Amino acid sequence: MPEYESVIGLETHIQLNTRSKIFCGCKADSWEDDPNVNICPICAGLPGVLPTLNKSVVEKAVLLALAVQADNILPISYLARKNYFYPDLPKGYQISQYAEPLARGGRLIIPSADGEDRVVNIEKLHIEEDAGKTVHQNGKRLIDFNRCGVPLVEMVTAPDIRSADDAAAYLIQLRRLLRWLGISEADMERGQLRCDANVSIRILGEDSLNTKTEIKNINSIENVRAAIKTEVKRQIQTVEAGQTIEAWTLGWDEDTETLRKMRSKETEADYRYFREPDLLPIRIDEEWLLEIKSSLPELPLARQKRFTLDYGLPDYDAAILTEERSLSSYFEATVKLSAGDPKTISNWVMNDVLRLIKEKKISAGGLRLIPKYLAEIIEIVESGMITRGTGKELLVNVEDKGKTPLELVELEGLAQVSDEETLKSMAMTIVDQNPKQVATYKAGKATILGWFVGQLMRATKGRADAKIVQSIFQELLDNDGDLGS
Amino acid sequence: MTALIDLSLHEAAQALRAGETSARELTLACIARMEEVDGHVHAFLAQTPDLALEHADRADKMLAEARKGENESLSNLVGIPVAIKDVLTIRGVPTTCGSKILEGYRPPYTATSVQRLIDSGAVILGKTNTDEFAMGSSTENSAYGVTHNPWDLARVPGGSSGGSAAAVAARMCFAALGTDTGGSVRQPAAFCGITGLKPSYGRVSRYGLIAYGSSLDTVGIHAHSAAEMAVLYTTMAGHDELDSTSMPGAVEEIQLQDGDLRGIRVGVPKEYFIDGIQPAVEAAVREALNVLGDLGCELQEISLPHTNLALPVYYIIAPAEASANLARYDGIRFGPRKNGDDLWDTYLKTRGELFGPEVKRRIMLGTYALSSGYYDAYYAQAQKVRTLIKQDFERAFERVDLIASPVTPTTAFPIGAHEDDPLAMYLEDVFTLPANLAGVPGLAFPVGFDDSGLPIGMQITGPHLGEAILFRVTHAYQKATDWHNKEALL
Amino acid sequence: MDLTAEEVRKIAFLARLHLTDEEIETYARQLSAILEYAAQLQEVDTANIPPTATVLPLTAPLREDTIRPSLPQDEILANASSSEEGMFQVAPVLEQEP
Repeated sequence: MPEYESVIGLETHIQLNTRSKIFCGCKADSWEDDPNVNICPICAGLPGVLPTLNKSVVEKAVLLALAVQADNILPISYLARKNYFYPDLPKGYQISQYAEPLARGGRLIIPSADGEDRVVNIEKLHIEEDAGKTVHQNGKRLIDFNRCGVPLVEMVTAPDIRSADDAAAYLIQLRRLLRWLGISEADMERGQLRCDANVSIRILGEDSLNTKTEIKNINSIENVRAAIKTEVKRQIQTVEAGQTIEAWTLGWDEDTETLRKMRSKETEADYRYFREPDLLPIRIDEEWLLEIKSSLPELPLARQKRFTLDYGLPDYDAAILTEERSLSSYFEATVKLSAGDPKTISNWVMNDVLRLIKEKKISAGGLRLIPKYLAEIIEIVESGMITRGTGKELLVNVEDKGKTPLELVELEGLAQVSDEETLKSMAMTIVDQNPKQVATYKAGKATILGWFVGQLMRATKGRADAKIVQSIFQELLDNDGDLGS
Repeated sequence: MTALIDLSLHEAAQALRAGETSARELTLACIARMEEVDGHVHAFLAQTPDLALEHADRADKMLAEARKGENESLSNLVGIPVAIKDVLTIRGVPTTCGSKILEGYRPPYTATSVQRLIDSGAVILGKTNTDEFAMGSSTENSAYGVTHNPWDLARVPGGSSGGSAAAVAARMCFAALGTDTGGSVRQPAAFCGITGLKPSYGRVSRYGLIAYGSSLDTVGIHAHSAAEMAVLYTTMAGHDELDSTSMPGAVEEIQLQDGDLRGIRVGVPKEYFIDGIQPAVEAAVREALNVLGDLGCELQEISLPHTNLALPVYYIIAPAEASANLARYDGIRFGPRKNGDDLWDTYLKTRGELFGPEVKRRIMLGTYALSSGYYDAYYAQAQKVRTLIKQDFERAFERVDLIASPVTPTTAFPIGAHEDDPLAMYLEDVFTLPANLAGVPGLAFPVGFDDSGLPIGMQITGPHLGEAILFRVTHAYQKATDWHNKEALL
Repeated sequence: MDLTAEEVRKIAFLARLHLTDEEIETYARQLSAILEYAAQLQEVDTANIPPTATVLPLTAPLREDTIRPSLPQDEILANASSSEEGMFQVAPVLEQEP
């Protein structure tokens, strides 16, 4: 069997998180609401209405275009009517863009573990309105128009993706970027990020494109991975059996993990695109573009790489720390406020801080445990004022109580007992008081050492360094109770 | 004492201010007139007497306050009964666009243009008849029956704003709103012996104007004279944030001057004086041009070389836009539904059975012109030729201040004359279409009658946003002549 | 330029208009005549002429991203011929369907 190569292109629809819809002032987010409560004559497509373009939609779309380094952000672009009939499309056309989209070109880089970053080229990016939802209930077919007019950005890649895993990786990167820019929550389960995959195969080494199938309605990144894997396998089997691939439209059934052939909405749809006469051309002049550009933050991948360079962090750490923008800012702020080792800080952030924000369901920027406090905690752990264990508790404590670490250390007497003389004398007391356990140790059961350590830890309320305590006991017991001077 | 309905808008406004009559009385007089003659004319599709009296009572309050000196600058529109073409929405009032597919539909919002009239104290008498979805030149395409020309009930009033024009001509109202996409205000004005304005595209908000040809539609006005029309125009014109295609910036003030038109250059386009014009029409128009000359205008022949292409361009672009604008009529959110075997069948049946033949013709024409394989030759090409037509006007307005021409090749034709020949009907629009394609304003006014006593109109067309000069010239003409004062004997 | 009945059927379907056989014949005739007339546009030299999508010398006005009140649910449903539980009801589809 020859070696086959998967040729995959992804078409994503991104719901922008503007307050109002793209062409009217209705609230854009209806996820929690009753049906048909967020609509007006405009988004319901009633006779006589006209659309007006939301400025924020254009800004967020341009921000995304800049973030993917679009080759060309058109100074003048046009909205167009895409004509087709469907009950959830009230006007019988969707206002979208066609021949003159907002932006062309660009790329999204998928970082990979082996260092071989893969570049996925973006063909184009345009804005459009979302349609309503069909609900099947009680055997009836019902339409909720709440979602009509929600702003979408459609981004189409070139067929540059070569595996289902890379497709998933692309979506993960895209999601990260969208959240990073603050333009979409990009939650696939809530339909804020939707993906259709175009899949074809070819013999490895060829560069022609063969007939592709389109997989629609995949509602999670894992399902995208599974669906593409399944389809590639099917295509290979088909070709190996001497049959041809037909340009089917397929749907992924996640329950049965199978692909189902769908009847396309308009067989060989002729959308009869023409420029939208109710909306004038979108103009993005130099001044506005510069303004938007100036609001472009350092992007996740760039920051990730910079963390490895500037702070000597391993890729693993940098990836986790830059998973989310406020977390990465948090980390960096802590590093800047600390004299400590960035790797140490990274560990604390990746473990304790991340756990905390997940529990509290807030972003790093919302913590009362501000970077300054984290830096303090790490310092006093490193200096031995408190144990690591105490430090971990203190972290949570600071967040709950909102006091500074030093205040709490003071208030609750958390300082580590680190004076060796004190520890030695406490240890001696415990040894004197527990001859039976001493005997057990002398009999060769070295594990009883842990019991001695535990005793002292309890006596100090955990405020001793367990390792030091252990070595003190070891020395004591080995030297037969005689500590010397 | 002149009957209330025979007063001019200004006379009525004066009488109202002086307390000689009330808005309620005026409204009741119009309603009585409607009862008297609309059985014959059939200008109205929906009469709204309750709403009208509500408006009238509110107007009377405003007038009372003004007399007490509390509100000095009262619009002349306060208490004046007007009618609205049934393609403009009024909240809660049935709006059909002359179609069965909107039977029973009550919009939840009011068109901006209408709202501005209401806010200025106008009284709304009802919705007037129209060719279905404004597609037609005779009002014969209405699914609710044809409107009859008050000058000769066996003839059409013109279209698509035939109801509007007939209502004004028959003195059922003082003025009316129509819409003009290809001539639908100017042509009925000519056929009904009244004055009609198609404003510049973008001058009056289209929000609430149920769309036919989005890049061509305008809200227009019917009244007996330019002076009366100006009252409605100044109330409605101007930017609307709900309409992205409405022009920003201030509206040029309308100055109605008497008599002296010296220095105004009038272009007479040779392409509009062709064989096939009814001789009486040409004679009346030429006579009117002489009057303008006497008033001081400088007449000169000009050429608008692409005039003959206006018709094919229009009948590609308007149907193309309409095919998309009418896709929303599917019986799901509003309007009646014709149930089919399944969802898709319901679409087919609802639209197939509830749209009339002219509408279906234009939808199919438009669908074809936009479809894959034909887009370039038809739609794209039409858009480019449209540019040529627009440029014809721009070039002309470098040399002249306005363009004068006939409105229609003939006077009002008999009902049924073009029944089987849609193309012949389309040819009625030859003189009016170009202004819509170029987006420029046009004002039609009466200039005479033919031997059968049927009115003849002339139109003057100005540059984009050039309404002021059109009002000025028409007013001067109407001060010097009497055609606009003639009344249909009904 | 003669449109066949088949072509008219196709266009009618694209526009979701059910036509009787008689109507198809009539429209084929009428549309052909109109398109024939419109075909004269193809003779015009428009080589360097830009299309006019709008007559206005403007670009899109942009609206501030503020929320405005929507219509109450009952008003939006008021004109529907069939609705249930706050949603518009449509007929089911006979074939397997996205």
